[in-house]
Amino acid sequence: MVNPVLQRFLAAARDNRCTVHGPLAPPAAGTTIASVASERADGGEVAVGDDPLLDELAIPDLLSARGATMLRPTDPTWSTRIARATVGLTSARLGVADTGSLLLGSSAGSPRATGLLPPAHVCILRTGAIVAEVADALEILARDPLPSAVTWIGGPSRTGDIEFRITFGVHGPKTVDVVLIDG
Amino acid sequence: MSHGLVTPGRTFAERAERATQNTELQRALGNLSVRLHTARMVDERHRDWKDRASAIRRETVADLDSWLDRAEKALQRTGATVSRAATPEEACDAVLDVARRVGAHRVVKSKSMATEEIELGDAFAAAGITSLETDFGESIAQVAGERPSHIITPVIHKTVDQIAALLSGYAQRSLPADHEFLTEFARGELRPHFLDADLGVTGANFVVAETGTIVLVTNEGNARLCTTVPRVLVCVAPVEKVVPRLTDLGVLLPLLTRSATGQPLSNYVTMLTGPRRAGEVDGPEELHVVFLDHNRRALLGTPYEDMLACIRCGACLNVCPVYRTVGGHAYDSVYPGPMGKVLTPLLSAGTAGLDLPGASTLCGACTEACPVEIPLADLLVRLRADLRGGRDAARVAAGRKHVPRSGEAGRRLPGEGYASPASRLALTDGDHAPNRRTRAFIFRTWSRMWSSPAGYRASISVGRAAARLFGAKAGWMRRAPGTAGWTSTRDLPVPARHSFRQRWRARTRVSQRGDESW
Amino acid sequence: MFVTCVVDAVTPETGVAAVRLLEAAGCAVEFPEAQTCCGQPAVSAGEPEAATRLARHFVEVFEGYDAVVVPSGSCAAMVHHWYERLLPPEWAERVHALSTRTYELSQYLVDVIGQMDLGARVDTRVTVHDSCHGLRNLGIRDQPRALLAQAGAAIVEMEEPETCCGFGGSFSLIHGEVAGPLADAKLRHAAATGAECVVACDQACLLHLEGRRRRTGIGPPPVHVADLLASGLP
Repeated sequence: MVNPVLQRFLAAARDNRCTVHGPLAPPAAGTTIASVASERADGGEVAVGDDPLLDELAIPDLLSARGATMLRPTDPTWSTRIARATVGLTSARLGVADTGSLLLGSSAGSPRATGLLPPAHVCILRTGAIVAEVADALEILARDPLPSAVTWIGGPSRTGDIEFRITFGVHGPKTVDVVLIDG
Repeated sequence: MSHGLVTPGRTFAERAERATQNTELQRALGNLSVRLHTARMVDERHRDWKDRASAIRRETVADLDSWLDRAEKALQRTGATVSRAATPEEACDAVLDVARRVGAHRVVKSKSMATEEIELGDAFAAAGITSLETDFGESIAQVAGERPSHIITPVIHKTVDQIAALLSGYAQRSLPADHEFLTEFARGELRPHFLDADLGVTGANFVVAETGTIVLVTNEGNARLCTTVPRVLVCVAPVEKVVPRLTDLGVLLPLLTRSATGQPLSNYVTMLTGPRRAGEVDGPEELHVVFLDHNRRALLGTPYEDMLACIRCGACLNVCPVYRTVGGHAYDSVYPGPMGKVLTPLLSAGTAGLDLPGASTLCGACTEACPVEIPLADLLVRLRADLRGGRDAARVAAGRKHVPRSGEAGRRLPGEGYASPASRLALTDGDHAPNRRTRAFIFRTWSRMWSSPAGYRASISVGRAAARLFGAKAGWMRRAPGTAGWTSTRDLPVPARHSFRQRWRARTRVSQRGDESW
Repeated sequence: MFVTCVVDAVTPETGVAAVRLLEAAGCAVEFPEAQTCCGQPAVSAGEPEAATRLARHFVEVFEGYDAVVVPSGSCAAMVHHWYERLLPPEWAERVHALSTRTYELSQYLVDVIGQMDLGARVDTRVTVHDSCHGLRNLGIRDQPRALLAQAGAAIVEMEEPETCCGFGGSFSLIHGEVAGPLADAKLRHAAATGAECVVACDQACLLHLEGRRRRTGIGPPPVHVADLLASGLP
């Protein structure tokens, strides 16, 4: 059974130059996330938030098992080490199919810099959290008090400032991997 | 202004002339055709977007003061501090106050036309504070010591070769003219500054009144960095950025990004609601919002209030035949292109950009492209009339708080019996009074003559005779006294030997004899 | 017929052509001799009082007719778009009534009386420039093309047919430094199609382009759509 909203999201995210994995069901999802994150880490630290979804998939354990060093926001040296981490792992609370956007909300457990400072960003998203359009996402956001930051992410950082020719990785992450989780 | 222009000059005409002679600039401007049809990126599914966006913007502008109050209260509830600046100087002072109070020495700025408008960079420099432009295009402009030339793409007036040469000078080594290389270079150069900065400054694309949320639309990540790393953040927001509800962005955001670059949505949208919360490890500890007026609210109640609906997408620049020919520096204004031709004389209260409304062919491509349906070409015509000094323009309406907004009168031009809004705006006329009176006299005389068939016919005959006198050959002349405006670039067509009406008359006489030929 | 001051004084043959086309389509054409100018130069110069005077005269001359046909998109657009903004409210009804009966020539032939076949034969390769006011104020784009195609012309579209030619009334007088390059761009685009002529519905654009072409030698000759079609009438 083909879900048109999911299909649109997949197409848009790929257009945005994201590498999309899945949709996958746990436990395959967990393994893939850990594997993608370690690969992107390339020996460096993996910045991981305190995130219920990540915990549910046992990501911190899976990463440890692969020998990845993790940086958690509770670590007192977080603010100096985050600038050196090579991959940031986050979950998105919503996805928008029309634009291929990932919506991240900030919190104590989910710092903004996780999906921003490291050159690689791995983001997980439940397929059930994908809505059709920007307007739909805003309606959901408007229902509850907003977090201090909601960040919408399309894909790798980009610019067209030289002659309108698009280049990537200008200030934000150079790569974005999206791992879709069934449900 | 007037420094930092690739095409300097005292007047638009001088700067435009320089622009058309500058081969590198012309080559760079050729790239603009890539964005020619961004305004048409609103597809079939969203036909009503423009209507809804226009309605939201008009709703806001119609009650701007009230929405501004609501936005201020909502922002304060989030823990942000809010100030209002009537003038650019007040705005700079407000920002510098924050900087001094927190002891900031290293500022990172993301792209903001409002901060260009108030010349914040210069104010920081004067205060001995280093402020770094972090938007890739703006950082290149900063290295070049130039003003941005486009509100979305600051250095579109430069070729990759020019940029490579510029950054090579800055790096003190030769950098290749390669887009990817230069991008990576900028990333490496600017990253340490983000991490080191103690104050971030941004503008705001929208400020949501209902929730007190600042919305930033970007692609690069520099605005995210400016709003994540430094301890203190200041957002400079022109008053018309206010938007009533979060859900209004459902149509405004995609319309803005499609009109600006053709993207369904920008790569990043950052929505900030207050400073960081307890327990959060990044985000600003202090968030300050400075609302900038600078003669915007003076437009309320006048036909020009429509201009406050602008969402700064730049689509009008992309389609303007004049902008595409001369580039942004020819306008010598923070805001170039059609929207700049309207805004510059208005925001400066008639002291700057007075020759800009005349620098348009009135082709209407801007009006057609505008996602919020601002009648830009009509506003340019209106400005031409108001800046000429319509009948009441000389009167400065001191102390008049509000001109009643009447729909019919609001749409009519300052013809007879219509009070020019220029009087309320205190627009001053760039023309010397005698020039203005002479022009008015010429046009009055001409229109009186041409309101009478006899006067009209007589003047055509005079024109025809004059042409023959000056050696017109085969319907075209290379030059004639008083026609330099035309003949400097083109041959001038001369009046025909027999006008249409003469031929019609002759045919009527002939047909009375039963022959319908001409 | 409102021939327009430019056609009356400078290119009367276009007025003749327009009449011949209308008559070929079965219309009875009248030419009220009291007509002068629609007032457009005054509006673009920022002299609305002068424009209002001419607008009043136009309304008085033409309001008695069933239809006012104009071989110029910009003049017809002037009536449609600006007259109700210029004239006082007490004129509103008269102005509105007249402007709904005022048409550009190709618009009248194709949209109003539905007469595309005028018996003209034009075996020419042409490219079309879409004059700004006709296009954006009146939606004139398909109509001249329909007439040309019907007459057997081979239409080759140029790059950016909708981009302004640079005339813009007073603009081309005070900003020749921009008007010239815009005309050049238009003529280059036209030349690239290999067309034998570039056609438009507005003599203002065409005279500007021809004037420039005579200096640079670039581009096919500009021709008014009425002139071209009428040349193919039996």
